[in-house]
Amino acid sequence: MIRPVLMVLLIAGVPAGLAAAVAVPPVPENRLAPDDPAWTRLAGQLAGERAITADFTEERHFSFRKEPAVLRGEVRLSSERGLSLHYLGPEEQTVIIDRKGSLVRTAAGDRAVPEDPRASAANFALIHLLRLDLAPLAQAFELYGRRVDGDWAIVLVPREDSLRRTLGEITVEGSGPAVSRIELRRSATQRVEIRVATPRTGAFSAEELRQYFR
Amino acid sequence: MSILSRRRVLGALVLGTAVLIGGVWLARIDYAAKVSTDVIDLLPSGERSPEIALVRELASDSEARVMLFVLTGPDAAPAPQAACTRFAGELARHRAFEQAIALGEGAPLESLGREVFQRRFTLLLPQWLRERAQAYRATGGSPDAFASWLAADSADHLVRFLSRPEGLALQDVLPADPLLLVPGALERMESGLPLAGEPAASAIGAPARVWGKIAASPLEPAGQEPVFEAIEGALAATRTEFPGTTVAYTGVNRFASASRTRIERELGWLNALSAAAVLAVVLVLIRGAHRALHLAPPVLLAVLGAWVFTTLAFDRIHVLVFVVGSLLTGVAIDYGFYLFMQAPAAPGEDYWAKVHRLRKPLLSSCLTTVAGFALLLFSELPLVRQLGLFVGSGLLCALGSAVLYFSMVRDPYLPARPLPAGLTPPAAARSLVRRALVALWLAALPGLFLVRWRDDIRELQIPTPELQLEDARIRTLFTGASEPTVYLTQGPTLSEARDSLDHLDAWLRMQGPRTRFSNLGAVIPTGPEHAESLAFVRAHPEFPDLLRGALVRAGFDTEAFAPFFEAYGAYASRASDSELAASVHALGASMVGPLSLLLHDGRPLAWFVTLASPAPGKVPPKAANSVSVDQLESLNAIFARYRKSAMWLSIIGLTMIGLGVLLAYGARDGARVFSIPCGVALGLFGLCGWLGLPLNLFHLLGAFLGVCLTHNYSIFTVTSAYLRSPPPISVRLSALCTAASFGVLALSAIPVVHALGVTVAAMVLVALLTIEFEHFAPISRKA
Repeated sequence: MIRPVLMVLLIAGVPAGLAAAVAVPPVPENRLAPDDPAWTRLAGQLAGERAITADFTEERHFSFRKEPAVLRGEVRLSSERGLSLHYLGPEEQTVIIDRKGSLVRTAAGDRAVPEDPRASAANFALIHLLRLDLAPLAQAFELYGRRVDGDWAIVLVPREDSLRRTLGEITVEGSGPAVSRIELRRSATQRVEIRVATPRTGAFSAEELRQYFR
Repeated sequence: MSILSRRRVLGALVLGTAVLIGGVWLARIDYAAKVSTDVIDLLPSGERSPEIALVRELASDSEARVMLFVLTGPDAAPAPQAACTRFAGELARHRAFEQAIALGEGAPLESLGREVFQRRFTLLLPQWLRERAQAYRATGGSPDAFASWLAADSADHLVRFLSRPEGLALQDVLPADPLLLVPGALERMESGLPLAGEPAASAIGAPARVWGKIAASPLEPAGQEPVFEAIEGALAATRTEFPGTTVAYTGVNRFASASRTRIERELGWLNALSAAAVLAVVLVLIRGAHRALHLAPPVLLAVLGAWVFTTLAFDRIHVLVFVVGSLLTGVAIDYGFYLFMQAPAAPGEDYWAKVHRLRKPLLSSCLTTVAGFALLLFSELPLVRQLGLFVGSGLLCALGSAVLYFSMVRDPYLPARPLPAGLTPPAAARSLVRRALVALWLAALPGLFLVRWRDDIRELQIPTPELQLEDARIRTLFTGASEPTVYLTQGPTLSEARDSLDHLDAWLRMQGPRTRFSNLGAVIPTGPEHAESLAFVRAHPEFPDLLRGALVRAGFDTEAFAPFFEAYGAYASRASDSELAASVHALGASMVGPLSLLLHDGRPLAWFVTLASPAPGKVPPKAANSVSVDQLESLNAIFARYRKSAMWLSIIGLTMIGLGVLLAYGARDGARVFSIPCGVALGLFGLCGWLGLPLNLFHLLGAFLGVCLTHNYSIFTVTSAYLRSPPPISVRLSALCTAASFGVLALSAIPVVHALGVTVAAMVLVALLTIEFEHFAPISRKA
């Protein structure tokens, strides 16, 4: 089956040993109401940051390879422009996910990515998840979450079967107003994890906006 | 029984038999199949230009059957995807639709992808091998070591691919495709893929779109009303689940239906207005106007004859022939006027003696005009050929039926109402006006060098501005603001078209990185590429083992790649030369929705469609055998060719008419007779040149028709001049009737009809003025 557009799933990280501090099994008692006041306050804190930059490390686990592929780079999140993942190696490239869809930017130029509903769902989830914008997410995903002291974790389970098979579960963990880890997990041997370092805040320069967003 | 009675019976018998035979023939015709409103039918079916041949094929083939729908919810926002799915499902269930697909669900791409994936060794391995062989040659390695190098290089590529975004997207495919055949094809399609019909499906607020293909031709009634009813039904069903949903749609059938309605409406009111105008002229100029009803039967018989002969000769006739040809009445009535309104030479003159007396002007005017129109039968343009036969045969019928009909009329003379005294200007004034007309004509002539021709194929279309706006709006929602340019790469076979596609691809790549394009060349190899691939597979049975080793060394679990090795082994054992054609056929069959238009495996033309954006301003090289369907310029060039061809035919026709007149009336008088039609046409075109009014093919045809009409007036008038009589009243009456009816045509919104109406009405009026101001006075004095 060809799904040329699910490259969006690249967002994930962290080896199993550094797994979430707050475990969130997708069980009824962890169900999260999108208008939960505590989560709304946290979302407000995240939304307050209009521009975030952080280093990240991404590990891609494939069922047909013993060792994961490890990639490093910088993630940028703009409240207006969306999400940008700048991979520094092994091939330098930037993946931009915004309201228009997704785009791969390399030295050779921009490569628009043909869309399909699953990629759309992933884009949609990531854009809203990184802002903890839970109300729109609740329409397409079942939401589970827990907070322990300042740490928190949210798990998204697609409501549609086909999307559940393709995307699996999406987990986002954080501490206070910072996202620290994202995982897209289809199975033990097929998962992508991104570990996000301590974020830096401050407005993007015009050059950054030009280079890393569209 | 008296001689007169016998003549009446004989005349009635001949005319009655003709009406009966003609009526039975016309009653048996299937008009829906016989009469076309399609603009493409105005172009020759055997057109030698590939552009027109392709446009004809496209218009009559599946491409013209596509309909595009945009659904909106009650709040004017795009309707939900589920509403699109429901609407498309309802349409697809209706027999009027062959396909209906809700876009945005990825189904067309998935279907294509599935087929390409299943046939990846036949379709994708050849191009992959050629690329890798080129890369290997660049290393300078020995041909013997190619297979080993290829295995190691493939494993290395796979490792690097896992670091790319596509590595994650295609991870399920990789165990069956470690050579990265599918990612390679996607890369070749590059960013052009969205051009192929699934753009921006995920964009928030994206329009809710449905793509449909109707079962019947959009140019036939079966492709119109039943389709519109099916759409209404599907919408009603969708509203039960999604209240307030509305649909906007476009398709060739909407334009065809609107054109048909427009033409029918115009036919109705043009004919009514034309009849009213003619009646008004008759009432003013004829005493005992009720007797003028005798003029009607010959005209009706002429029209009947024209319909019969044209429908007998042509399988398919464009409706414009009847629209324009309905004005045959303006010419046909001339013979009736002339015969009916000529006073007897002496009291009690026998009718046949009168006919004998008038035979020379009647035959000269009719036969020379028919000869001129007969020449139009040699035109390349079907419309012109059909018009030539319609008018030519109609005129013969008009003369024959007029002569026979008036033999049955008890008193075959219709006197004119005398002009009130004082209306006729004095001789000196007439002479002055005549000289002024000559001076004006001489001044107009240099304008012929300033004449501009506007050869625009769009003049053939019936304008429907509201539909065109709606069509543009809906197409923008499907293709984005910049609609891609469509290139058709054609050949007698798909294999030859594929070879040409390589040239088009190379040319498009040379246009720079901004030019994106997409076609099936990325997933269909050329014949030579396929042959090389077969040779490699047969010559290197060790390749799978070499690849296994390379994958292990690169850290892969080779067991996971069992699907690939099994499929490769099966392919290697059965691969044959004929597999490419079978795979391409299967690929074509698997394509649904907009993608199904990318390939046409037909006879005598097969083609590939390439979508490019932004389109290069230049024309593709000859080797590419490609044309842009948006290339109005190339179509207009062909249209210009038709105009030039019609002009040559007109010139030859005029020469024939002129020679006929010179033979009949001698050099000096013949020249004076012929100077009216010829001079008026040249003078009016010269005036248009001075005024900067552009002319087209249909002005030229109008002038030709005008020449034939004014030629009649000229001959009838010179006959009177020989008898020292004033210009016959029938000429004035005929000219005014014709000017009135063609003047009405000038009101038409159909550009072609308008051009004809303006030209003929102007020519007839100017010719009448010339005649009224004693153009033939010198002949009269001499006689």
